[in-house]
Amino acid sequence: MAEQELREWAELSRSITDDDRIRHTPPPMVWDNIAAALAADADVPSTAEGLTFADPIVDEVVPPEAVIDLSAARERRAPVEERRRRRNLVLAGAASVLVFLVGLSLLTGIGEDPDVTTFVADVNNAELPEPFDGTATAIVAVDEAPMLEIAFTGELPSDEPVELWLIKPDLSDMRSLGIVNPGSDSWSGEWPADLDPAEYSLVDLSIEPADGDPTHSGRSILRGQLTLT
Amino acid sequence: MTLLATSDLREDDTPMSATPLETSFTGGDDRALKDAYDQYGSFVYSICRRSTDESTAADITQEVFIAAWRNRARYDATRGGLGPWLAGITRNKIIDHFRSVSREDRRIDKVKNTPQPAEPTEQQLEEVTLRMLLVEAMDELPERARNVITMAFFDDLTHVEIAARTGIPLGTVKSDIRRSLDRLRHGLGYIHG
Repeated sequence: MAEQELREWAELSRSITDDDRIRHTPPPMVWDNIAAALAADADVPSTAEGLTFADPIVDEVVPPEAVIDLSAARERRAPVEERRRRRNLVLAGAASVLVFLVGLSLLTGIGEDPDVTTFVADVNNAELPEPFDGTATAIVAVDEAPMLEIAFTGELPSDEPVELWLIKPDLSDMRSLGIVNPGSDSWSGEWPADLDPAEYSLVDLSIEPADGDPTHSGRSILRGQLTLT
Repeated sequence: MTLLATSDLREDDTPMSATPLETSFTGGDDRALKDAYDQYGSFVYSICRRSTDESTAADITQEVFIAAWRNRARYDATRGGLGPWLAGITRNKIIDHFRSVSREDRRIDKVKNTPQPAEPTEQQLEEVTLRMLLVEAMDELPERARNVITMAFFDDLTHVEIAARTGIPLGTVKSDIRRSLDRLRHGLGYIHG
């Protein structure tokens, strides 16, 4: 074991390049911005003290609410002519997205570690604009390297790209996690370290036509709200 | 290469204890973040510069330290040093950055002929981060220990050969190597192995 370890160390050390030794000094404004950002939450306790991931979402069934119209958020991001073009695009009716907790055993055992905070979303997408014939379960396991895992039942569309989004319920921001492989039955990847699952709690899949528009198309096929377990 | 005797490498599995900075960082000491930034800011920024432009590297460096401070309670010194923990956050932030840059933005950059750093694969990022961490960890070794471990790594010398070449007593060579490996494990923990 130790010999193997030493071999690895030696091999790694011999792979060091000149570039690996170069250190750049960050511009002064980097520290200034860090200090300013943290001064704003100087009284906020750290995660271990239970605020960041514990407070915003309670351990209960989220009451049904209207399907969220993403057009407002999209308009904040789209150019004027796009806003004009989309003005009449209405995504959703008044039906609800039913959110409920599911057993963690449905997925990979990611939730078996009692030290790992988990968020779970199960999705009823029947009222979405273009629901696909299936459901999904998403789990976020929050530890030092938070992971998002989604399992789909049913087959995702394979004729158009499907993109995965994390969205704030108030639509003030959204983040793309990229394209889901066509026909895939699962997606797994790192949860962005700078996003709080309690804030970016809507997990959304949308059909994104190759029209050059990087904003959400409004054509959601699946959506669920992460709930703290 | 010539390997050192297993018995010389490590006498127990006791994790290397936390440094004063690591202790004060997890404790939320007011000065700890600035001290951590002074020690690792250039390292974090330099990792970013390997795959992003200056502006993006500055943004990501800023995000790394803010996220690290807000989540400092997750840092566990028994799993590795503050450096590798920050390096792990940095790696994730860089991946997030490339994920979040829209396909359209990249197309526009190409149309403008704006030179953009090539997007690294996760494996490339991992390898660069590991090598840069090892540089950091070796630089932090005391000079004599660094020389000894360098001879073991790069010159394939045995303890006896190192002792003969340097004039350092054999027992000291062995203990230098053992302690150096402990420090390297700590210096690359979280990322390595």
